[in-house]
Amino acid sequence: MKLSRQDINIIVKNSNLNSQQIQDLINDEIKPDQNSWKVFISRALLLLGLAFVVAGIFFFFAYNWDGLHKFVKLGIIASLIVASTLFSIRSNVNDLVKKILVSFAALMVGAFFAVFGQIYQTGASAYQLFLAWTILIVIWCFAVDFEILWLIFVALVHLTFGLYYEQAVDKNDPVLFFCIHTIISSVFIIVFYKYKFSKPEWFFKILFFVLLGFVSVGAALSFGSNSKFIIPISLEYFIIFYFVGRHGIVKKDIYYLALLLISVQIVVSSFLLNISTDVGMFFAICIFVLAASIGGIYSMKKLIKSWNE
Amino acid sequence: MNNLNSILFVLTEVKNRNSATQYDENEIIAQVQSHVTHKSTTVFKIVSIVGGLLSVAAFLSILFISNIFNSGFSMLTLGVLLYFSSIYLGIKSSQLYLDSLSFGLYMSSIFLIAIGLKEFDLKEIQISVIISILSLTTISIVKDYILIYISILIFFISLTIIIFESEIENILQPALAILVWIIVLLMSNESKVLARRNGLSLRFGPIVSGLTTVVSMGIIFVLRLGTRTEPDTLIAFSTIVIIAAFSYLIFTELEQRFDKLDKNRLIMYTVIGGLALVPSIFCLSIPASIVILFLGFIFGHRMFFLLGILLTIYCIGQYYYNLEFTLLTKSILMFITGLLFLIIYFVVNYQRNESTS
Repeated sequence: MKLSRQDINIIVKNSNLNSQQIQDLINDEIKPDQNSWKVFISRALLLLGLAFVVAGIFFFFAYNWDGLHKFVKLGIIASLIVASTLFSIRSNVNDLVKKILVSFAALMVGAFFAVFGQIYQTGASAYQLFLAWTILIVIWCFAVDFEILWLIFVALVHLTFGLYYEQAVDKNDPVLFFCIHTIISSVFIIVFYKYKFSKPEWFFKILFFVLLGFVSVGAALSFGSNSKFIIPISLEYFIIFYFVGRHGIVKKDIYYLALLLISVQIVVSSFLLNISTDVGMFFAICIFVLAASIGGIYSMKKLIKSWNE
Repeated sequence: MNNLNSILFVLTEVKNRNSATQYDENEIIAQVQSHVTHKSTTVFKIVSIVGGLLSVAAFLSILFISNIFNSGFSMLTLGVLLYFSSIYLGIKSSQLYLDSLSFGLYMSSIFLIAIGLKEFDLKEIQISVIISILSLTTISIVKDYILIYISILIFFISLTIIIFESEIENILQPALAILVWIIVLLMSNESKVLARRNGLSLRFGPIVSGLTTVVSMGIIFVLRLGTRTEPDTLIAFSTIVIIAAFSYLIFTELEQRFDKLDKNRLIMYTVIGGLALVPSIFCLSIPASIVILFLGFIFGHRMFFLLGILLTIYCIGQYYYNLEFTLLTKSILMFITGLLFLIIYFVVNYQRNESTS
C-alpha cells in the first residue's frame, strides 16, 4: 500500500531523515513511475489531437453552415455517427478509445436532432428533442458500459424531465419537481447496484451527490409551502437518509456521511428560518450549524478509528 | 492497519540502507492511529468550510438585524475580538472538529474589520493593506490548514485590490508568472523544505494548495480581463517566464525518472515541451494551466490534476473564441494543431512498440 503525503509528513516529523531520503520516499511512494509517464503522455497526445481535429471540423462547418444544403448538413452529422460507431467495433482499437468513440457518437445524436429542428422548424418542444436523444442512446449505454456515457445519459434523463415539467405540465410546484427528480436519481442508483455493473466508486459518489442534492433542496423548499407533496418529499428524505447512511457505514466511506451532515445542516436551517427570521433564530441556526459540524466531524473521526481497529 | 504496516516497512528499509537513520516508532504509531486517512481529511476540510460558511452567514445576519453594521466602532471591536479568538483556537487546538469554529470566527472577523474600517472613511487601499497584514500574521502564527489556506487567498485578493486601486494592473501578468515559478520551485524542492523541519515545512501543504488556488483564480481573472490593461510585450515576457518554469519542471522530473536518458535527449524533450507552448505566447493562461496540470500529475495531487485539465480546456476554448480570425482560419489552425498532436502520438506509440518488441 502506497504512502500518502500525510504519512510522509508524520515520518519526517518523527525521524532524522535527510532531504535525499525524503526525496527517495516521495519518488517511490507519491510520484508517477516511468510507465505512468508514458501512459500519461500517450493519452494526453491522443485526446488533445482528437479534440483539436474535431474542433477544427466543427469550426469549418460553422463557417460554411449557412451555405450548405440541408441534406449535406444532416449527412455530415449522420456520417460522423456512422463513422465513429463503425471504427469503434474494430477489434484492433484500444478499449478506452472504443468507449470514447461511442460516447462521441452519442453526443452527435443530440447534434443531429438540434440541426434537424433548426432546418425543419417542426415546432417540437425542447423536451421532445432530449427525450428522443435519450431513448436513442440507451442501447449504446448498455453495450459500451462506460461511466462517462452513463453520466451523460443520467443528465439527459434529468434534463428531459426538467424541460417536460417546465413546458408541458401545468403546475408550479417546486416540491413536486424535486420529488420526481429524487425518484429518478434513486431508480438509477438502484438499477446500477442491482445489475452489478462494475462501476468505480467515484461514479456512485457523483450519483449520490446528485440524489442528496435534489432531495435536500426539495425538503428545504417544502417548509412553509402549500404543496401537496410535503409528506412524499419528507418520506423520501428520511428513506434516502437511512440508505445513504447505511451505505456509507457498509462501505466504510466517510464521504457519504459527510454528505448527509451537510444535507442536514441545510434542511434544518431552512426549517428554522421558516419558523422565524428574528435575531434569536439566526443565533440558533449559527449554534446549530457549528454544533453539527463539530459533533459530526468528531463522531466521524471516532467511526474511522473503530473501522481501522 | 495496512497503512501503519506500510510506514513501518518503509522505515525499516530506509534504516537498512542507512544505519544512521533514527525514528520514534511509538510516536509514529500514535500519530498514525490518531490521524484519519488522507481522503477523510479532505472530506472533513470541506465539511468544516461548508459549516463555517453557513455559520458566518447566520452570524452576519444577526449583526445586520441588530443594526451593529451601523456602528463602525462596534464592528471593529467585535472583529478584532473574533480575530484573536480564531488565532487562539488555531494555535491551541489541533482538533479537526474545531476547524469549522475557527474558520467561521476568522471569516467573520475579516469581514467585520474591513466593513468597520470603511465606516471610519479609510480608503480601499488602506483597508486592503491592513487586511493583508492580518492575513500574513495569521499565516505566520497558526498551523491550522484551513486558516492558512484561507489567509493566503485573502492576502492575494487584498493585493489585487491594492494593484487595481493603484492603477498598476500591468503587473498582474508578471506577478502571475512569478507565482507560477514559486509554486514550481516549492514543489520541486519539497524534500529540502520538509527536511528543514521549520515553520515553512509545517505549513507546506496549505501554502502550496493556497498558492495553486490563487494561480487558478488568477488564470481565469487574467483571461476574462483580456487585453484591456497591458501591451503585448509584457504578456509575451510573462508567458516566456511561465514556459521557462514548465521546462524546468519537465527537465528536473525527466532527469530523476528516466535516468537512462542521455543529457542531449533530455534537453531535446525539454525544448520540445517548451516550444509546444510558444503558440500561446500572448495568452499566458494556457501555459499556466498546463503547469498546474503537470504539477498535479507529477506530485500526485489529484485535485490539482483535475483543476489543471478543466482550466486547460477552458483557457484553450476561450483563446480560440477570442481570436480575431474568421471561423475558417480558426478551423484550419485547430485542425493542423490536432493533426500534429496525433502524428506525435503515433510516432511515440510506434517507438514504444518497437522498443518493447
